[in-house]
Amino acid sequence: MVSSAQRDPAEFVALYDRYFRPIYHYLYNRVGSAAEAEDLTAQTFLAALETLPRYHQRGHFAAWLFTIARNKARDFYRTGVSPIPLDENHPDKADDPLSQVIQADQVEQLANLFRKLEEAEQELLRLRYVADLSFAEIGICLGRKEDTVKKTFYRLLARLQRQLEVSHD
Amino acid sequence: MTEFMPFPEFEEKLRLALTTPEPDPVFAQALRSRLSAHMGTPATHRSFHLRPAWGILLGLVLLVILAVLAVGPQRVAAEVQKLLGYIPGFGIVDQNASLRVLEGPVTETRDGITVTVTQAFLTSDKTVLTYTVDGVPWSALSHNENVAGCSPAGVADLHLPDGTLLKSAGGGGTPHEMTFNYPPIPANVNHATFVLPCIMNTLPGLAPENWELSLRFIPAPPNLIIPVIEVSPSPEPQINTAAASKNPLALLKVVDTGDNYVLLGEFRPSEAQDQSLPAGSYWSLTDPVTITDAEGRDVFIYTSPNDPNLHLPYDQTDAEPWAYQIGKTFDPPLTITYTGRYTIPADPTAQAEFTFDTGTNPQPGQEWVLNQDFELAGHRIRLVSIQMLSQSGYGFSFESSDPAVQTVNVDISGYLPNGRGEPEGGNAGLTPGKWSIELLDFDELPKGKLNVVLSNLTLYGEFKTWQVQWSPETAQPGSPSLYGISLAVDKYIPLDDGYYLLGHTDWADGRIASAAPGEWALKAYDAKGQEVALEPADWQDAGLTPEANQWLYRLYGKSFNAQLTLRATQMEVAFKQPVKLTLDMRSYGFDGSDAQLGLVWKFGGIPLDVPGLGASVFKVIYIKQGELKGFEIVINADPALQGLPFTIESGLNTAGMATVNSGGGSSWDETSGLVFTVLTDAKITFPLVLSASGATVNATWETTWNPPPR
Repeated sequence: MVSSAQRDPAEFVALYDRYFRPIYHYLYNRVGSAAEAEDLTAQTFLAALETLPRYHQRGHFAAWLFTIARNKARDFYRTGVSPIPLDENHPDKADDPLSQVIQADQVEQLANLFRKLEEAEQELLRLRYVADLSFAEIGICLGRKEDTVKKTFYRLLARLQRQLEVSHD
Repeated sequence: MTEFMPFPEFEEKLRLALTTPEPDPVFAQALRSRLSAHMGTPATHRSFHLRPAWGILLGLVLLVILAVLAVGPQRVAAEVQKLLGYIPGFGIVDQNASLRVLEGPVTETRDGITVTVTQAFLTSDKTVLTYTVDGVPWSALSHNENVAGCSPAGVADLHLPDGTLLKSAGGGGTPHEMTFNYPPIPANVNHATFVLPCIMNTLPGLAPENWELSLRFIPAPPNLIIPVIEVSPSPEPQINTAAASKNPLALLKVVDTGDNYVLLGEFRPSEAQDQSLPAGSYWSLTDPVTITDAEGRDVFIYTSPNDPNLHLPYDQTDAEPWAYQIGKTFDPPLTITYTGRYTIPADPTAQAEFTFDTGTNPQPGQEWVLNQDFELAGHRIRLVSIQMLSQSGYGFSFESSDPAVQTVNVDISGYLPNGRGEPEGGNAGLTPGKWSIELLDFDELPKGKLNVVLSNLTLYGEFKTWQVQWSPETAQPGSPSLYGISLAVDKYIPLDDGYYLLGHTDWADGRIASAAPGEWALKAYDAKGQEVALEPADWQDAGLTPEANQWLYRLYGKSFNAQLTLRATQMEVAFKQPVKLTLDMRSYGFDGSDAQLGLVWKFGGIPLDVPGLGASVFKVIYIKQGELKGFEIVINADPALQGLPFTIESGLNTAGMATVNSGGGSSWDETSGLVFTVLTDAKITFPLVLSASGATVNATWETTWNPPPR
């Protein structure tokens, strides 16, 4: 798909279709506003379209694209705009009302814990759960070894799980 | 060490915690169209990025720029003199040009899906055609990001009788409405066939394909073109707060479209250069553009009309064209403000070098912690570490306690990267004082002993504000009266403790059927500005019978300082033609199930034809109140529009119902805009047609009255 798009820009739309939602969700999570996420998503794809000829096919297009998105988000904050807290309403999926309440409560606590994390830690979770990148791709984005990313990630998850359990004791 | 493996449920909760709303499908499609249009065009550097609203507005109304592109700057002035007419849906035209239009909308329905060619404009330069698609079931659309629906093959062609095929020359729109430009159709050809291979984003076999609609063109009626008064900016505005030689913000033209003004101008980055700053300094926008009135109040900027001739490739010119459409009820002069900041290169000759040894076999992810300090042009920065990146390159992490430092250039002598990451990240990024530079995609990875050069340190400069002002040539102090509404006191009836004041309301706008002050929105003030008690009076108590457009108030007290000013701040107006909104949520996956309660659908802005005031629907939420279900509809509107009570005109299946309960109302919300609800206990069918016969509007209307001598 990427090679086709490099040969024929008209094929880029297929890449857009593949990556539009992950990029949007990632940027929304970063900036907390639909309008800004739309703006940055547009900037990301326009930049990707312009620089695609310079992309060297290494099988990690997603990492390359998310690197652009990260740069755009960084530029956004460089303008002095403060991040907007994400909507605190999260969907719940449990069936019975009690489970719904408990699960929604835990999800809410996790969202709070997420907001208190270091930016680098937030980014790790974001790239994994919002952007749906593989550990290898996250490694490329962050310039870290895949194993390093994986260990850091699981350490972070363990910590979050402990914090969640403590808060329920 | 045993590796921690999280419970799947825990991961699922984390995913939920990080959940963000789904993107607006209209935006997704619009961006897709924009990218499609962008493919094959040369890449250009832009000096600043624009927010979507401004991006949309920039797409607005710029035939001036089209003229630049088409005929070259030398002839622009002459071409502009011809721009005498405006056609909504088309743009600005030469009124003397030969113009043809579609004889009437042409529609075809197959399997519940309706394609309608709604309008076409034919000039000697181009053909512009708009078509709509309704009733596409959610199930026919691609929702899997790995499976592309119909596109770009979905762009319709025009076939002429002699077999000529006219391919689209650009355009776009929403899944519901698309507008495309085509080459001109010869003057002697009055028929064409509209050929649509497939419906946008539908999957093969799930929606009818190969649509063909026969079109017939006729000469445009003489009243089609709205006269446009081109107003010269008055005078050349030059509020220049920087030491630059010229104001880079220029207002070039103002078009009076009747209800609105369209302000056309451009920002010229080269003229924003401050000669007192070192060469290479540049200014870039940091805040949203604002337009304010004489009192400093924000003036509402409308979303752009969908005029494809005004959606121009603005990034192909050195200047940054802009267009802002505003209403007319502002207190002049207007001030357009651009706020931004300079980036200043420090001493360009200042550089620092060091040798860095990666070893013979550096590995991706490998990190070298240096914590090495450098001083460039008197500014201290620290290179904290270098990491090898998987993208055949290296990342350099910096920090500096100097708030003036923005960023620094990094090079590896003898090697040229194909890409640079976060070159604009800078010191004011996510973590103040820290930033990183990535050199990516080297054809051959540099390794071993490398000479690294730090150069071109850039600094943050002053914030600068650029402004232009403009007043309509006929401007009077104060805001023009919305709808030309005026108040008059016709008679008074003395009372022991005051007066009955009988008056009436007039209006000049032919689209208005009636206007009356909001019941408690009329207030009285004496000559010193002190409020005098005034309240709506009962006609029977006063022994009077109301006539059309009359109002009756009771004024308390007689010992006030004449003259009295009666001021209304809110008016209830009725329209001769109701404002209509047609919603078809089927194409957005609405199924009416309770599972969808609370779901939000966002639109790019469905324009509402509210006389004199800009308004467009941008969000719809499925809601339930008691036994009634319906929609909360959020409108981005001129703040003057405070209420727009819609009722359901059609779209309810009331079969078997003895009574239909419904409810609703509208209100202004400072954060959301104008919000109204439509609720019913009947089954909603689509299209749902809503209608508002009047509105509540805010503005200021005044009249005076002199009480009799005492």
